[in-house]
Amino acid sequence: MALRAINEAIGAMRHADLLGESIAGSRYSFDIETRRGAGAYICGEETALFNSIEGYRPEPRQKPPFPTDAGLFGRPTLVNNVETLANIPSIVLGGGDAFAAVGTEDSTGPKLFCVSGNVSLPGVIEVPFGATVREVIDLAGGPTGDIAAVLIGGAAGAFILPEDLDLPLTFEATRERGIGLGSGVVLVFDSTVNLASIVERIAEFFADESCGLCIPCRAGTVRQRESLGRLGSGQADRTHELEILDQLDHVLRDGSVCGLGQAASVAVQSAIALGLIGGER
Amino acid sequence: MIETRIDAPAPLVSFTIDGIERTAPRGSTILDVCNEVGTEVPTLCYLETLEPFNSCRACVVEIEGSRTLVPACSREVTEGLDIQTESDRVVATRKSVFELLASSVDLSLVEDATRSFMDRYEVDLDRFGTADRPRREVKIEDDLYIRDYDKCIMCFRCVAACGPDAQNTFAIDVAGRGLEATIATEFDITLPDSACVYCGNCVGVCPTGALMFKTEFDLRSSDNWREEDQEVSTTICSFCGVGCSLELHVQDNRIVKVTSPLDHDVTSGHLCIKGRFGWGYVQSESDDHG
Repeated sequence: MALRAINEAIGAMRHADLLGESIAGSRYSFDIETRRGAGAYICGEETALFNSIEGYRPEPRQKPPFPTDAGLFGRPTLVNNVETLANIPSIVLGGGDAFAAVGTEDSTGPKLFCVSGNVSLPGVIEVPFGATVREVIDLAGGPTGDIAAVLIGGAAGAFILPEDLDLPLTFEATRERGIGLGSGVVLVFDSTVNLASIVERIAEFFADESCGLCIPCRAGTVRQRESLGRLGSGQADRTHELEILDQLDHVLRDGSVCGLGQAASVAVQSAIALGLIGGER
Repeated sequence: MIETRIDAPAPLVSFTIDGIERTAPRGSTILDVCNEVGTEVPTLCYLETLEPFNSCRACVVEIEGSRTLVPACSREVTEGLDIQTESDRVVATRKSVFELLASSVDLSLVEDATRSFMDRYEVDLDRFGTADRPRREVKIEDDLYIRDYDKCIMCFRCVAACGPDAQNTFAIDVAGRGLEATIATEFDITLPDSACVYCGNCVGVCPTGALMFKTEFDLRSSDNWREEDQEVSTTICSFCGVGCSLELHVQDNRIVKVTSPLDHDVTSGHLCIKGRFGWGYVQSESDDHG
């Protein structure tokens, strides 16, 4: 649907002579081409996306060089996500000051959050930057039970506890807490959810989506999943498994080529730090 | 007359390695400088005749202010860098890299240099166990070389040597992803059916014995491979006028392997099927050849 909408818009612009060679008789030429992804998570990494667009395997490139120096087809490249591009019309129409008047001082404008999990009306909602986790959850119909934890930022994000629901969803407030807004996901878990299996599922996801280029991510994501499995079974030596997970956290963050591996242990470690998993039974 | 262009020397940049101030021409990598000053850095995927692939992460070093560690093989030194080559973070990551490798592949034939780094970092080979590890059969499809991907650490040297960095044949690439990723021909067809031209350059660059000449494989299988008894004779390939330098590895008066020096300016270590495998006539015992 999104593809059809964007292609229709591009067609209309081309028809109105607002795209292509010599736009509206001027000497200015500009064009837009859409490329479909095939769902690989690694393509969220900009350099893997370049390789994919160039027809290669979506493996990340070592940075530097950064995309602004050598990106797609080796040319300087600017990468923006859809949300950023979607904000541009309101800035063009209303001006930068009006846009910046929305939100907080350091996080300006409106922001989309994808609220899912144990809420009545899951979906994408738009709020001014600065709305709290609680407000965002309430806009999605509120929780369906007693909240046990909320995952902020998606699979590569971090958990927060029910007592932190008044955390403002801004860059500065989340950074201060050592977490990030990530993909804008707010995933709510109520007390009926087995959080250990959720964390294991996240680890499984990273093991599945690792491209296999670098050793830390290729093997580390699998070893992390295995260790969580042993931890969850209750049969394992708890202290030993927590040591293994801590070691994997370091090698993944310090050694992986790209953001996928570097973030593969973030949710796991936040769940451990908050006592959601790995505690005494 | 052949014109040779001589560029002006690159300007020097200043930086610190392990607390000592150094300078090097701009464009040098951290690894170049470490090699120059004698600082030991483990490398697995890096080879001086190939473009850095950045996959093994064994050569990572710490740069002040950098969020992650950086690979020494590809990162160029820049003005003011403060580099630590063996900080606690670096040692922890290198140790983990070797332990993760040990949990997923057969490291029995890695190079001596790699083994000594594994000892130095007190690598525990069973640290992560081997619960989920692809087991791969040795592929023996011809008389020239075998592929034992159970020993493959996915350094990508073979892919680079087969492809853009030497042979430009592109017979092999990565298939699959994650821990299941492996090196394969197109659709995993056999080597004789693939685009492979049997230059053997993939075997020449393999650091773990995953790719091995059939002669060596057979001798190892029958427990007759004795590297300490081998003599290496240097000669020039007799087949054409290129003049490739050959190193004939000879055991019991039989050629068992042919290589070429990495630093040879004609070959950079790479050969073609004739130089690599076309030596049978030298030791023919038949009378037919007069």
